[in-house]
Amino acid sequence: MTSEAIHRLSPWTKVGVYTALVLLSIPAMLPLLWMLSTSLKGNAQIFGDGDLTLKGLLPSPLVTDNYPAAMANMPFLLYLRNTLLLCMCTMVGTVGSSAIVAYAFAKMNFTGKSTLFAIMIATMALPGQVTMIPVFSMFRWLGWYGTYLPLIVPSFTASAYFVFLLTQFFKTLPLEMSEACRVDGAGEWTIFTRVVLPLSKPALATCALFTFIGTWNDFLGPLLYINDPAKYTLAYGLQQFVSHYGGFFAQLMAAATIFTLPIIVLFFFAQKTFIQGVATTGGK
Amino acid sequence: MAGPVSQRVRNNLVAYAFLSPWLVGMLAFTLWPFLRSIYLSFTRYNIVSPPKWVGLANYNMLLTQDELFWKSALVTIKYACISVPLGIVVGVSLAMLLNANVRGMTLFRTIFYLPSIVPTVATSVLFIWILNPNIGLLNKMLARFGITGPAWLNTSPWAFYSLVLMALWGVGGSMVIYLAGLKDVPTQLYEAATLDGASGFRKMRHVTLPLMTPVIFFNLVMGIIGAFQTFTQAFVITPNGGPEDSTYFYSLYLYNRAWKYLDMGYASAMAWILFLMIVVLTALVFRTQKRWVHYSG
Amino acid sequence: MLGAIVFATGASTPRKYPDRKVVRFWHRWQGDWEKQVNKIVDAFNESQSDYEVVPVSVPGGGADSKLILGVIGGDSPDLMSMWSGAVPNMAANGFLTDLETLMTPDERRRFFKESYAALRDTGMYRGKCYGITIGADLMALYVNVKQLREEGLDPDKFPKTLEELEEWGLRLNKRDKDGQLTRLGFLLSDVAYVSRTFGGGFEVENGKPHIDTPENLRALEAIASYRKKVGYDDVLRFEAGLNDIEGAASWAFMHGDLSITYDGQWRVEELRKFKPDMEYRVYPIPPPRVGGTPLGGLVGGNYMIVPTSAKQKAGAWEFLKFWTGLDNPDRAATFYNMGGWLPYSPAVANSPTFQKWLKANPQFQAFIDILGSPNCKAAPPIANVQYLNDLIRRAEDEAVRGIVTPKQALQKIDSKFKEEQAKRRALGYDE
Repeated sequence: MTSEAIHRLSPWTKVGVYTALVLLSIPAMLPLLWMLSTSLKGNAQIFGDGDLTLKGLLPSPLVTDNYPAAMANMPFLLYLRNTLLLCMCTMVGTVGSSAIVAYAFAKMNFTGKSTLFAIMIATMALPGQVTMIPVFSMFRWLGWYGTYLPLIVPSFTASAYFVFLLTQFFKTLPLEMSEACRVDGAGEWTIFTRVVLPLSKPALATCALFTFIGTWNDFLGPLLYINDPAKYTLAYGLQQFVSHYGGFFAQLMAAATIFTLPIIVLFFFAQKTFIQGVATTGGK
Repeated sequence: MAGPVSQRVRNNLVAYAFLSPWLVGMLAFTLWPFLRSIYLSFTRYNIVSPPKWVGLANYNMLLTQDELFWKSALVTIKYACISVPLGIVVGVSLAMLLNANVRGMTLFRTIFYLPSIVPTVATSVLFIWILNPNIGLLNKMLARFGITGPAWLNTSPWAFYSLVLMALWGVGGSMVIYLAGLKDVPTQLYEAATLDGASGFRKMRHVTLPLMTPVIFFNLVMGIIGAFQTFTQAFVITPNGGPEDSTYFYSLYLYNRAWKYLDMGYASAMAWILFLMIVVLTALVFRTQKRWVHYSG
Repeated sequence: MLGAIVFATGASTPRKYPDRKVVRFWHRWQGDWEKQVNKIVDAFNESQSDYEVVPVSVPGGGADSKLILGVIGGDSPDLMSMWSGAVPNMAANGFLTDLETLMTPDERRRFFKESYAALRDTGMYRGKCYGITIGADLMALYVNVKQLREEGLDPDKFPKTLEELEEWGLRLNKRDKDGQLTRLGFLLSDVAYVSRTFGGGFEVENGKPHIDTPENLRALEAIASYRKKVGYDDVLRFEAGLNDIEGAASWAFMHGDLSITYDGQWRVEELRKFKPDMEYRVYPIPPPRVGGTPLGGLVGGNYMIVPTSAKQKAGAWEFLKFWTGLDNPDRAATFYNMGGWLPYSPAVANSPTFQKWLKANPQFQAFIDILGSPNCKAAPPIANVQYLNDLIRRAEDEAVRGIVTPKQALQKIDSKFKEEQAKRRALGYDE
C-alpha cells in the first residue's frame, strides 16, 4: 500500500478541505496583499479616503517608484550580502550543534540528564533585557564588539529552543533501528549521522528555516554590536524605515515587501524537504 | 569485557561529548549574565555607577508597593491563558488540514506560513493601519455589513484582543512545526488503522493526535515562555501600556524600568520574579507530561 | 572557515578624510531627514580641516540602549541626538558631559544670553547644560481654512479664548444620517501641554511636586468636559488616527477628518510634502477666558549631547556650534530650514535667511511666537521626568474615559509620583 493510497480522500472530504482552506486563506493573506497593494500605490490614493471598494484595494494608477525609492534609501545589495552571510553562518552553527546536543538528550542515558535538561529550559525563561548588559560587557571584554562574532559564535553552542524541539522529534523516532545498529557494533556517532539525521529531515529543515528567518529578522543584535554602516543588515535597513519620522507609508510597505520576498521563495522550496520526509518514513 | 560500572562511565563520557557544544556555550555565554543579574536584583544600579547593595528592597517594593507590577503581571497571565491554548488549537487544526492529500497544497502551506515570517515591526505597523477605526481595512469591511467597528487599539478590551489576534495571525510558525511532526508519523500506523477500518476522524483522534503530542508539548512550553515575555508587539503598538493599562505587559514595564527610567536593579528583580513564575509553570506542565505525551520507543 | 572569520571581523567603510580627527555622530533621523543631516555633516566637513564627522543613523527604540551600552563599553559616539525627556535622567546618572566645559567664556556668555529660554532650560539639569537643541518640538493649532469657510467661520477672526474655540469646534463637527461623527471640529488633549495655557504645569521644585493645583485641574476638566460634549467614543476614533508611528499617512487633519488640531511644528514640513495645495493656518492655542496665559507652550524634541566617554569632545563641540549657529546664525538658518526645525535662538530666527524662509512658510511664525513667549517653558528638570510623563499620560487617559474624575486623576499622579520619589530615596537616590 503506498502512502498516496492511505491518504486518499473522498471527493466530499476534498471539497470540504478546499472550502476550509480557501476561506481561511482570506484573513491570512489579506494583510499581506494589502501590504503589496499599498506598496504599489501613490500617495494620492493612500491619503484619499472613501469606502472600501475593490477598486480602492487595487493600486490605481500603478506606482512602481516606491521600490527603487526604498532601495535607494539603503545600500541594498551590501546589506543583502551581509544578511545572507550571517544567515548562512548561524544556520549551519545552530542546526549542527543543536542536533548533536538533542541526540544526547533524546537517545542516550547519562547521569544528570533531567537536571541538565531542566537547566536548559530554564535558560530561556530569563528575559534578555536584564542579561543584555553582562552579555555585552563580556563580548566587549573578548574584543568582539564591532564585529559579527557576537552574532555568529553563540550559534555554534546550540540553541536551547532548537535542542528542545529536536529532542521532541528524535524521541518519536522508533528505537528498533538504532538498536539494530548498536547490536551491529555501531557507535553513537554513526547512529546519529546514519540513522537519526536522515530520518529527521523535516525537523532539521524546520530548524534551519527558523534560524535563517530569525537571523534575517534580527535587528537588535546588529544594532547593538555593529557601528559601521557598511556592516549593517537588511533588518536594520527596514527598522530605519519603520522608525522613520515622516511616515512614507508606500515606501515602507515596498521595503517590507522586498524584505519578505526572499523568505517566501526560500519557504516555497524548503517545503520539498517536508514532502521528502514523508517518502523516507513511508518507504521503509 | 567492560564491567557495568566502566560501561556507565563510558556512556556518560560519550553523552557529555555530545552535550559539549551546549555546555561550553552555557558556561561561556549564559552562566555569567545569569549570576550577574541575580546579584543586580539586590542592588541599586543605574548602569554607569557601580551597583550598590540594597538587600531585599527591590523585591519588597515590587511585591508590596508597586501597583503596576501586579497589573502588568495580571495582563500577561491573562494573555498567556488565552493566546497559548488558542494558538495550539488553531495551529494543530491548520496543520492537519494542510496535511491532507490534495492538489495545490504547496501553495496553501506557503499562504498560511507567510504571515509568521513578516518581521514583527512590519506586522505591527501593518496592523496599526488595518485596525485604524476610520481608515482601516477591518472597519471599512465591517461597515459594508452595516457594522460600526470599535476603535480597536484605543479601547479596552479591544486593544488586548487585537494583540491576541495579531499573535494568532502569526500562528504559521508553530503550524510548520506541527506539519513537520505530522510528516514524522510513521505510515505503518495509518496502514494498520486503515486495515482495521478506522474512519478518517478516528484515525485523526487515535493515531495522528497522540503521535503529535511531543510536538504539542513543545509548543505548549515554548508558548508559555514566549507569552510571558511578550514585548515587541506591545512596545511597537501601545508603548504607553494601551487604554486603561490593558496592554501594559510585564516585559514592557520591565523594559521601561530598565532602559527608560534607568533602574536596572529594580528591573533585574522583576526579571527574576518573572523567571520564577515561568519556571514554576513550566515545571508543572512537565509534570503532566507522562499523562498525555506519547513518545515511541 | 577562514573566509568566515575574515567576514566576521569585517572590513570597514573607508574614511573620506583619513588624516583628520574623527568625530563619531549618532543620530535618530532616517530617510529624507537623514539625507538632510548628511548635508549638514558634509557642509561641516568641508568648512574646516581638523575634523571629520562620521554620522551613523540609529533607528529609534534601540538608540538609547545602544548609547548606554556604548558608554559603559567605552566605545561611545562623540556626539548624539537624544529625546529631550531622556536628558535629565542620563545626566543624573553621569552619562552626559557638562557642555559648558567645552565652551569658551565668550561662547558661554552668548549661549546663555541668546538662547530661547525654554529651549535652553530643556537641556539643563541642576543648573548645568547637558543638551543643546537642533530640532525642538512645540505644539500649536492647525486650522483647515476651507472647512472653516464652509461653516461660515472667518479664519481671520480666529477665537481669542478657549471657550470660543470650543464652540467653533462643535460647529465644525459633522455627522452622517445615523449620527456617526464623520468629521471632528476640534480636539483638546495632552494636559501636560494644555495646562500651560491655563497658567499651570506639572512642576517639581526642590523635590516638591506641584501637580494637584487649581490650574492643572481646570485644564484637565476642560479636556474631559469638551470630550464629553462631543461624545467620548466619537473622539476615540479620531484619536486613533493620531498614533505616532503612522506618521503623516493617517493624520486625520490631512485627510480633512479633523478641522482644527493641536499638533507639532514638524507637520508644516509634512503638509508641504504630502498636501502642498491644502490651505491651512497655524495659531497659538488661545487661553481660557479666566486665568489663562497666552502663548503657553511646553518644549520637547531632539537634543544634542556629548557622552562622558566621548574621545573627541572638542570636535563634537565644533560641529554642534556649526549646526546650531552660535558662531554664524545666518549660515545655520539654512540647516534649520531644511527640516523645518525650530532655531535655538532669536539670532537665528531673525537672520535674513530664516526670515526669507518664514515668508515662504508663514504658518511657521506661530511657533516662533510661542517660542519667544515667557509662558513657553521646559519640562521639570528632574531625573525621573519620564516616569512623571508616563503617569500624567495614563491618568489623563483615565480621566477622559470617565473612569476617574479629573480631581482624582491629579491626586493619583501626585500620590504615585510621591510614592516613586520615596521609593527612589529609600534606594539611595538623591531625588
